[in-house]
Amino acid sequence: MKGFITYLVLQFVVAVAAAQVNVAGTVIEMETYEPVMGASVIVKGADGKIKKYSISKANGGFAMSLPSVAGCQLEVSVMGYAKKTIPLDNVSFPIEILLEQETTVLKEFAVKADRIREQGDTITYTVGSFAQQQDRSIGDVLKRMPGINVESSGKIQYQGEDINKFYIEGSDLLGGKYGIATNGISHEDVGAVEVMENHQPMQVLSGISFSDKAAINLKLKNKTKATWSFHGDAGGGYSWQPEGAIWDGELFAMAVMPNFQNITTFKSNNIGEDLSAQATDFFASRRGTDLSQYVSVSLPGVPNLNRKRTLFNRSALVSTNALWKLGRGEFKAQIDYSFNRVTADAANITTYFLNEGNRVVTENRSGVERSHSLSGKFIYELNQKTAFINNTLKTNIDWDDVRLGVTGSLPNDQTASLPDYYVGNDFKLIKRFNGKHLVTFISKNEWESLPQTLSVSINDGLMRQHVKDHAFYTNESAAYAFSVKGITISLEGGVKGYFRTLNTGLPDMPEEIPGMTTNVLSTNYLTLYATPKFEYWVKRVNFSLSTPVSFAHYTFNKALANCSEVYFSPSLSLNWKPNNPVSVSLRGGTGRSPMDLNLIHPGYIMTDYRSFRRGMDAFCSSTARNVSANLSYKHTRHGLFANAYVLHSWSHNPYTLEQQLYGDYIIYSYSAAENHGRIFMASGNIGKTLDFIRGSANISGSFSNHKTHLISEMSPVNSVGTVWSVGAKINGSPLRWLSFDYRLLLSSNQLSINGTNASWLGNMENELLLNIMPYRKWEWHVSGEYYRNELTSNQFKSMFLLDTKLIYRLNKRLELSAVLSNIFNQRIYNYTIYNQISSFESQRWLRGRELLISISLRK
Amino acid sequence: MCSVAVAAMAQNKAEIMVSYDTSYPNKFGKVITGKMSLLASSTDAKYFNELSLWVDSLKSTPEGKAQYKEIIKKTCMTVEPDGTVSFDLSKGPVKQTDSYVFTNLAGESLTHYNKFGEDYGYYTEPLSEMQWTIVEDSITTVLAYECIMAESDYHGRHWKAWFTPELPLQFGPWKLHGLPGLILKAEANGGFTFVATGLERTDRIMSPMYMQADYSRVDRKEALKNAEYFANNEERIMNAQGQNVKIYSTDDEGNKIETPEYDGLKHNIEPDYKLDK
Repeated sequence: MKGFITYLVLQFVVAVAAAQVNVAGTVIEMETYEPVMGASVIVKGADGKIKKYSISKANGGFAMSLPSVAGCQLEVSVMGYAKKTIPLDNVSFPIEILLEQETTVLKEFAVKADRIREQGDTITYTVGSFAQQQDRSIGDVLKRMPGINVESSGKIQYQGEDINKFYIEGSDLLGGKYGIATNGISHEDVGAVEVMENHQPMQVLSGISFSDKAAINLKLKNKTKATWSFHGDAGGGYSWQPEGAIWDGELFAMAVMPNFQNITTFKSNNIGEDLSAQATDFFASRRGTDLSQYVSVSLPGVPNLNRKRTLFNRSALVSTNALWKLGRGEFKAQIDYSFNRVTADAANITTYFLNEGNRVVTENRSGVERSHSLSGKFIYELNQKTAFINNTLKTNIDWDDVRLGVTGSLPNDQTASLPDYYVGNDFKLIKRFNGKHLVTFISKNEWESLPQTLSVSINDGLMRQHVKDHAFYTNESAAYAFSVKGITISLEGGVKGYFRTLNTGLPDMPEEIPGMTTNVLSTNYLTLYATPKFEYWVKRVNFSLSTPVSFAHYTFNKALANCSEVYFSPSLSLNWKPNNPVSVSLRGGTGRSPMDLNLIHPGYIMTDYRSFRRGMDAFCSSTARNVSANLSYKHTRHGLFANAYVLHSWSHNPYTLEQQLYGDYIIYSYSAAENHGRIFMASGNIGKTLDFIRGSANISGSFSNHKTHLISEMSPVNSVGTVWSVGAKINGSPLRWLSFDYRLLLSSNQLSINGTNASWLGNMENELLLNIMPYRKWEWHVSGEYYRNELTSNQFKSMFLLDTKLIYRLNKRLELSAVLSNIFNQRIYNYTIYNQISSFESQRWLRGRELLISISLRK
Repeated sequence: MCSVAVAAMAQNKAEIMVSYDTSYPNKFGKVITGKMSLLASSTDAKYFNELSLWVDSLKSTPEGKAQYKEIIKKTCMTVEPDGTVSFDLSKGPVKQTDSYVFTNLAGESLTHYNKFGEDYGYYTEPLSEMQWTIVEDSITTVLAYECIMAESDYHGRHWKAWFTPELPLQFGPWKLHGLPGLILKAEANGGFTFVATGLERTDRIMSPMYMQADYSRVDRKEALKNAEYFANNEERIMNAQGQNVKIYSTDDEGNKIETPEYDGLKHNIEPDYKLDK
């Protein structure tokens, strides 16, 4: 019995073995007839499921045995070859499988490395992981990086603080004009953005003087290094308002070599892009000559609407910037020219809130402003551990003219010419001895001339204001510091000289206004100053106390009595980093300072056709106090960055601005009344990467409360302005063929005058962009902007603007695109804003529908 | 012969690069995460950590070694203004893993380089040690690729791996291999996981092991046993070698805590050295 069973089992085994099909064969390359190793060989059943698999060996061979292959198919695939599918029903083995070459396309889901990495004080953002398909420049991508904030002006902040340097491959080519780089460099040329926290740009001060600011460095991709790279766009089209032809062009060239860097760009357009902003120097400190324009004839701006929608311009910008490394130092030359012609038309209704009833002035304005600006900067810098030398020669010539015609209750035509000539040289030398002693010499010399003329034809008469304003400023100082065990004590001493002459005349004044209309005076001073500074910096704490004291002697060329003053204005700052993610800063200061010397002019100056301003006829000083706190937190591995900022400041002036209406004219003057002002500001920002959609999100909020005091129509007016805003941004690409950008901004403001609150006026701004890539060579953007602005209490003005863009990529270098903006051809926009004691309702014209066809080339 | 093989490998260009997130439990009961990369062509694969590769390539020449020392000094060393010097190695580019796996279809074997306790070693094992059973019905999507599950018992753990036939490469993270498609996700009992987080085409060369001479051939199970002994007796071993050290552990707040025992059954990805006595 037992034997029989064994026999049966054996029979069965033999039967099964007999039924086995031996699926075997060789995988061979079709062209070379070479065997292919590593091919996946899969037998799939009729249900599509894997029944058995094998991998081809070095000789291309594979073998597996299956009970049956009825209805099965064999699938053979290797990377780089077309997949082969063979039904097995009528196949005899061994089989020869020929493979044909074909590129295996990967699904686009590459997330390499970490998006944000942290090493020491350096945070590295991988550009490719933040860039969306719709981005062009590196500036577009910077906006998406949590922790980094790019203001609408182009200024970059990191964790709520302005950056203090912008490097390209470690070299500071552009100084504060980094907008040239952020708007010009293609994000595809940049591998990573590095943020260096607590960056001390002067090596000689490293370890001695603390910096709470961060710097940004662009790490270029290898293909962009040691070569020239170029890209250019040229576009032309048609606009429905203003009716006519439009253009937009750009040429950008960059060289990043070991000993030489250059960025040269040329741009021009009339599609509403203001180019002069792109050459703004964000690191520029206030000029020592400190002149400011008295004449202010400016075209009205539009809040709460993308400037591109309302700017009727013709703009051009040429900028060339070069850096040569010479031995241990470097020489830089930056030359910029910009031209901007802006036209604006507006209908305005201005209401002045007065105790005896409101006064309404209506205007229709139509103006043209032309501005040219030519500037040059030549810098030599040596930045070493024991020595720092910097000499900067800077010149700037602006020639602007404005023409503004007004019809309404006071029809007139104004023409202003506002050139500005400036030249300055800054020299700084710091030497470090024995690691502990620092000696600094600084010499600054500046000259500026700001002539202004304003001609107003009004009521068939002509008024002509001329202003001649020149100033020379010099500051020579020496400082000594020594540092031991984390304590640095320094003393800076120097002398400042300032020589300014002001000459103004207004031959014909409206008869209603009494007073003198000429000013001939000087405002000169000579100041001796000393600034002792104490800095304590150990481990995670930095404490710094500065106590500048100065003696100043003012002379006014007999127009005013001469006087002498002593000023003392101590300030304190504390920075504490309890651990790497958290940083806390506290700052405070108090003290007296001289008044703004531009306010001294006993005679009237016409500032526009309706406003006359008389300054002070005596010198005085103001006092101010401020405290601020900054808190920041980051968790780079989670891509989380947050910061909060609070500022409270108080000021006191012994003079108060007075406003008086004479018929349709407004007279501004100063009276000797005490004036207390107060500002409170708070803001916060949270940014986070959203890895699941390869995007990021940001939430920000701000609040400010501003208290001022002035005298209007002989009565004191205390006004308190309150503004808050909340914004949110999110972007990502949830699908291979789709990416999006969404932005929401809510804001509201309120003005309260003498305790009476006006109603809150709110604005909402929504912007959504969808980018669809149906095929690899095609890209289609649809973007909409929706605005809802409160004109007066509970009365809203909504606006929806829709744009679209189609892009076709011929190849990596060549791209064609067509943009249709403002598809619904919206042409008019209304809004109301509050000034200190007036409301201002405006009607502005928008850029109408536009069609622009462009070609882009890159090398 | 050996040098010929090395030269052939040196020219071996990868076609694809995969980034994996890895995780495993450590002896403190915490989950340790890491990032690893896989370079693969249809015949070869190299599994490594980018930072470790960079450090090893730098340290493989005398100039590079000096340069690396300088980098560590710059990134990790803090000299306080009062003169005290401290090192925080977490700030700098310091290797977190020493593991490299080279898989070679032509040789039908894989070679694993690692640091076992104090010693650098390598061993080679035949590819046939890993046999899979496909579980067709279990499907998941990783990086937009549909992946099929397969199971295998390997060196003391039960592995589940998800591979995609759309990428016909026989490799995967760590030593996992032998499925008709790239392994994009894998997990074993005890909390050992690999998940692909990125995939890209590449033409990087799969450079051979740097400083190969520093590694000696080991028996895998012996080496793992030694490593476990070292992990649990580090202080004693070092003191026996003539040093005088006290080794202790701290928690996140810096408080001294008891050092738990390293137990291969819980903490080693290949605990088979503990199973067969």
